[in-house]
Amino acid sequence: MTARLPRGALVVLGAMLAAAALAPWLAPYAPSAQLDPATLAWRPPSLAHPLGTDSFSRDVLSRMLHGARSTLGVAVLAVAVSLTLGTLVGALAATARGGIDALLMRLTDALLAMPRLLLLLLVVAGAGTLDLAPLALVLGATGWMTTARLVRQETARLLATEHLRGARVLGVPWPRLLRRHVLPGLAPTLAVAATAAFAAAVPLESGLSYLGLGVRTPLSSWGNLLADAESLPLQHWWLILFPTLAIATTVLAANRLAEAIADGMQRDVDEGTR
Amino acid sequence: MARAVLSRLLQGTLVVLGVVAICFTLIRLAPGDPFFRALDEATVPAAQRDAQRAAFGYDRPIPEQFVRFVTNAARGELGWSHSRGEPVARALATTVPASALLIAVAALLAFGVGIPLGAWMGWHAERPAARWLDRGALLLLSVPDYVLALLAVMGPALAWRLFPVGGMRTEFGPTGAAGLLDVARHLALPALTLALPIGAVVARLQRAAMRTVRDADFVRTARATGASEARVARRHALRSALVPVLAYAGVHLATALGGVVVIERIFAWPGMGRLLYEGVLSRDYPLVAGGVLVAAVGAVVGTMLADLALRWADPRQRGFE
Repeated sequence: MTARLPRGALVVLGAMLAAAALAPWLAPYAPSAQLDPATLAWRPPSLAHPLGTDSFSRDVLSRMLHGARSTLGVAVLAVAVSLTLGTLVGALAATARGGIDALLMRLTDALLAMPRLLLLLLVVAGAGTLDLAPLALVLGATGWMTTARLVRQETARLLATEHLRGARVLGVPWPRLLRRHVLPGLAPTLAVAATAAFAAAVPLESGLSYLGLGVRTPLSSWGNLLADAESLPLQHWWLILFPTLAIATTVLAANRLAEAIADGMQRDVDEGTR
Repeated sequence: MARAVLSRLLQGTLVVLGVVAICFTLIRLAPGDPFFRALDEATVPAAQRDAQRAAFGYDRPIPEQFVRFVTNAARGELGWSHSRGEPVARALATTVPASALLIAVAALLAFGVGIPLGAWMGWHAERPAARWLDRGALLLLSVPDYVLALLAVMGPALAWRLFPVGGMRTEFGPTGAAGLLDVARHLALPALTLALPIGAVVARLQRAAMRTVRDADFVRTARATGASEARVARRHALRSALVPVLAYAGVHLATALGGVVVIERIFAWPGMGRLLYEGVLSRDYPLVAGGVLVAAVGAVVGTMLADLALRWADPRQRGFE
């Protein structure tokens, strides 16, 4: 693997995840504390409130930090779910081949043909209100299809390589073959799939929360922060600017990372080291 | 050729049935029913509710309901929309054109600008301007569509009053040519916010494809025949480099309706996306089923059209029948 990873993207992602993990210690105020609705509402950024306060005089920085917790936490969990499901389906299809392969791939195609947001709306409607963990499960359950296709393709390619054919001739049992020989080879593919899925999950979670279907107040998420700021006059720019920046930089960093890893894989192919 | 078309039609029908079946089941599994807004009150006796459900056949097993829906749909009957108080067919007839207009204009913008821009970026990949454009496109597609829409409403529409905030036409507004202009003014922001991220994806795909093709043998051969650089780029390189973009166009068309749900909601655009969104929230079973049916047919037809375009651009794809 000769990927040259973009340092800026790694720093941004690391900082965002660290901020999410350490939110309770970093946040200067409780995220839903209404400090003083009479005098402290609508305050622009200042030393006491670096990102300003909202209409209920809540501290935006604290809400952003705790929002990172829900948004990024849900996204990471959703990626774990979709990666697991996608790897299982893809690897099963590639190793079983024949009828099972065709069945699994047509199912994948049919689910891919459905607009994901519509699928999410239907599932979320079915669940009524969702906690963070079920929300992540739902996002993961509707997002495994691209991973499955990638993994199937890559597993089929790996199984046809000399050293895996050799291993099969030697009688290495299937579970061991998959775990010891296929899975390590899948690592770069899975890295691409994971970062790309993360880049897709952040807008989806925040979008659902924006629509009032995901994370609900008083719990904050970058999406429902934007919903709170909706259709306010531009004088209250800090309420919309900071959540937008947080979402855009996180997704941008994840996209950059996914691309860099994919480019690295391509370079390995070109140089014949794969 | 005929066999290929026939097999595609059959596959397409199966995909449509599968998609509708999934949505049909999911919406019925959701808590509540089409009458929850009217009947969820302590004063309404259970018998009343059961009578309502039975009147529309919602007390039957889901597979039986699905078979009835499919046979009715085959006869062109989509049922009654509870939340809108009109036939589903009429609700669709008024909203589908609005969505089609929005999606078509946005696609025209995205592909019309994205393809030439991306081709230029790929052909001149070493120029700093091309590299900055590429980064700009990546940034653009990292901003979620609903955030773009929100920004568009807040800046150009609300604060600077350049465009209307929402809707498709001014109420009691002008008709005729002035009416068309009125629709265009309403269309500008939603179409632009829908087109921007798609155009960014198209430009980046086109750039990558053009860059790969630029050094291919057949392009060098074309140059060796003495053709001008512009002709080589347009006639030889671009045609072959269009393949991945056309493939993406198919995927995009297939999911276009999912993309307009949020945009239509934010801009109050009276289209199918908003119809479906409200249908899901009000558990309007017939409306959701009918809407999903139309959307799925549209997606399958869109994918097929993209495949046809692919066969035009890449003659190798014709060799497999």
